[in-house]
Amino acid sequence: MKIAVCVKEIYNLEQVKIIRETREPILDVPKKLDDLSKNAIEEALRIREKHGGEVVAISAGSKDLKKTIKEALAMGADRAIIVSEDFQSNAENTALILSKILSKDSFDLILFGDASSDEYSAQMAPRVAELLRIPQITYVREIKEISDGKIVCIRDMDYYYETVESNLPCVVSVTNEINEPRIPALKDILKASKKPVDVVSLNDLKVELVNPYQILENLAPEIDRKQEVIQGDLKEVVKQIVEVIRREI
Amino acid sequence: MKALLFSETPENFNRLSSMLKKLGLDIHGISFSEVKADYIYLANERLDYPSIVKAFEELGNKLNPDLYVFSSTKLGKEVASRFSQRTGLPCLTECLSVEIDGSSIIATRYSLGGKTLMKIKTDLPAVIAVVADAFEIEDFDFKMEKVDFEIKEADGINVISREEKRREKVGLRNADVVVCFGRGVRRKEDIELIEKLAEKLNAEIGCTRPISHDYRWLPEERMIGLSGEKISPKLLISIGVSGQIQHAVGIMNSKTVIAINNDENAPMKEYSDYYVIADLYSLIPELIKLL
Amino acid sequence: MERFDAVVIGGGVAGLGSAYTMAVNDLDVLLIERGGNIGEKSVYGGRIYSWVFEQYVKGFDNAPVERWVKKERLTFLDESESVSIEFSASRACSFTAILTKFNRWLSEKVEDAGGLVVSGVKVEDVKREPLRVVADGEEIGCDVVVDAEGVNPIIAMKLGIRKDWKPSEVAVGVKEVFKFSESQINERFLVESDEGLANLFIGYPVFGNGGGFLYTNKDTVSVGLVVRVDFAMKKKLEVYDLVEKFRSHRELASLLKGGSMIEYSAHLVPEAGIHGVPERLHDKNILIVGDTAGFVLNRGFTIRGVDLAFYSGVLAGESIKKALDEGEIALAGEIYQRSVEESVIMRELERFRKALKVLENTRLYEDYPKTIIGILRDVFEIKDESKKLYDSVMEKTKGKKLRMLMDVFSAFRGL
Repeated sequence: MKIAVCVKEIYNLEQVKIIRETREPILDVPKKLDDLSKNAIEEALRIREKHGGEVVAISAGSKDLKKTIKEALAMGADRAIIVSEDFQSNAENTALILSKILSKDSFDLILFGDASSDEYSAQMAPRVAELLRIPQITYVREIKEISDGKIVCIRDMDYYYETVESNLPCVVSVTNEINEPRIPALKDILKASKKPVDVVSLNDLKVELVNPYQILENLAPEIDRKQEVIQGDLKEVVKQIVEVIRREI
Repeated sequence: MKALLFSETPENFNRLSSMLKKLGLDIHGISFSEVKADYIYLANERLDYPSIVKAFEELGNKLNPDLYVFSSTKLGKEVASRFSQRTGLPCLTECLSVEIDGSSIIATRYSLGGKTLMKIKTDLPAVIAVVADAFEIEDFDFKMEKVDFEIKEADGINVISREEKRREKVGLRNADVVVCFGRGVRRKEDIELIEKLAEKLNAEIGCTRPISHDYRWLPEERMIGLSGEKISPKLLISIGVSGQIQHAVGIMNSKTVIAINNDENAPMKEYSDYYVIADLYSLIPELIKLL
Repeated sequence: MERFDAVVIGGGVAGLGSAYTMAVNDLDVLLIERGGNIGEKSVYGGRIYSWVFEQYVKGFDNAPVERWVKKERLTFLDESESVSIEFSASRACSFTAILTKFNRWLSEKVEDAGGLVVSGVKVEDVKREPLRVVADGEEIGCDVVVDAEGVNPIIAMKLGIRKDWKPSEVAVGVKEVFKFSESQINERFLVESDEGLANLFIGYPVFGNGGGFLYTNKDTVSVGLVVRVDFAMKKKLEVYDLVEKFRSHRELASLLKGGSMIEYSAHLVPEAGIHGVPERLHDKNILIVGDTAGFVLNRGFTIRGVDLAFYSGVLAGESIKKALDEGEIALAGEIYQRSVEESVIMRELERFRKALKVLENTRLYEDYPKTIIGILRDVFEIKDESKKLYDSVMEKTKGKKLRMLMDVFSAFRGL
């Protein structure tokens, strides 16, 4: 099995602070591999353990990606192919770049996280599948079987579970419930530094980028809570809570 | 202007058709059952993306709509994305509001994991997947013309079986009082404590994602947050919830928030009117006694 | 077992300095940082003296400098008033920087030079014969270890290379960062876009061993206090309260108006000067650098550490390279010891040996700011009858002229 895992680097959102007065986010924080991408990597590693083969991490991101992608390699991906330069980031462009990289090789299975934890747009897997003209199985909670050039998955949809079969090659996006991603140990991190990372340029890929979206603003919603702290003697605390409850209902 | 709308449930369909009507659009809609629209393409039920994308292509070519609209369910998002890629039209998912601005639309959606709200503009025609829960069903004068329509089977995947999720009727969204708990509640048996409190307050019970999705202690319908229910009670009592932003997004519209937590610096503090620093296991029994 | 020529413990500025020096000299070096990201745990006031980076880091032009310090201001504070002295320099020798970003940039330099930087991993132990670093349950073999753990050197203490600090040898520093726009800062502090101000404060609210600082970054301002731990303990001072008071002082409040606080941090600072430096800076092939070695210069009105920390890392790296070239790695410690002793680090620490004594003198922080402010108030505040400068000075210094004169004399000699 030759498995590609398309992963995304995102801002470390826990560290993103908001300027109270202007409500603007401060994005000068380190980046990390998105947790949902880690679910996809983990699933790929499990398939490799069972069926053998190779796991290739693929990503398009900023200059920081050269560092971020090491998280995927430390988890156990065999190698990586990345675009690591500044470009107009949107679903169209990223899908185009990923599909160009993917089409240079022949993968049996292409895994994604079902969305990314920052934008939750959930467009990437279907877009790449469409560009490669292959089927997609999104929101997969369990991969039941891979055999004879076919894959069977259980999808976790809003109103139902669905068991779906597709021929390989196929795009699969996984939910964060599918597995518990492993945390690499130091020896894995050290090993990762020696794994090959192929950095390709947008020039080499010959992609024509588009920019159909205009972001008018991106501000934190106003949180106007009193933040009154209640603590101390349990009896007193309970009394105070009851007072608030009585007042509000 | 014209919209072509699809939703797998009549409720979501009607919420979205009300929203679109308010924007002054003529609504053509593909539905599996009776719904409110100007032109209703009553179709055979097919829930596989290849067929729905194909149907949209076909109808789109005929009608030339300005806006292709889906509910932002998992099915809606996957169809919208694939359809957008096939047609080259821009696509926005998880939209919370939509307005028309000349020959463009402006949508709002959460960004940065819910830390910010993004206002984003793109030219028509466009594809959008909209969070239907954000809108009410209203009484408009729809033309209600019915057109027979067949969603033809298209190649792609083979659906072997489908199992409906047993969905409990949960009144979280309209509840006046909500008691919500997170991982501060350590064992499944301890939910009894929460239930007793909720009973005293006549409250609905909600939870954070790990409780419903990882531990499966409660059904998914009770999960409050970015990918779950968004509540707006008069009073929310939040117990043992750390306050991840993905959860906080779901409680933003609560009038008053009391949070009980033993961590004096949990992010939940920022989202609380009253932040009670105490051990929930000693506090809640006392609270129940006094109520 | 994985093997490296050298393992550096700690990804602060000293550790990065040694890793960088070794990496550019083609040594196989691994740096292990405890924090999740490089720079995450690094805290300092806000200003870096540039000489060492200009001299040793290729491509320093691209470093994330916030502003070059062209204005130095010293402010005496009492409860409600202030006197400032300002020096406007024609050329800058220091810059303000966000240390988190600066260290991240340095770590990229290390990696570009071929060094390996790993973060989010804690070093548990260092074992000898043969030398190994234990982290994450793994043993990593190496010829030499550079201990750059910082102010809380658990490993170095365990190995007996250095002792823990006494309360009189460390200060606690608290820093807050306020967000403005770049033009707001330029207008408020009367600086050009790439120029900045360093403002130091003596007197209120500490009135003792410590003081305040304010540095202008590109679009933020770093403000904080440093208070010696024993003094705070003796006077039962709560550092958080002090910062609150400091920030609310008229002088500060007007400088910070309209800014929003985006960051808060606290950290220990070694303040013992040369007394905090252990006699031996190594135990065979384990070398200590930066704060671990106590290389922080307390000049009273400024604390200088980042450049010395980096430089000690450079010296450690160069010494290791030299020892390897001579084919005798066991010599690395001795070579390092000698090079530090002959370097500007020890010369400066030696030169400021007396400073600590002078700084013990609490009159310097309590009486003198009040006296200076009192004199100037008399001179400038005219109600009916103005006071002559001479009369005011005589009155305000009554009975303590000799003492003051001696303090001033020893301060000049010491600082």
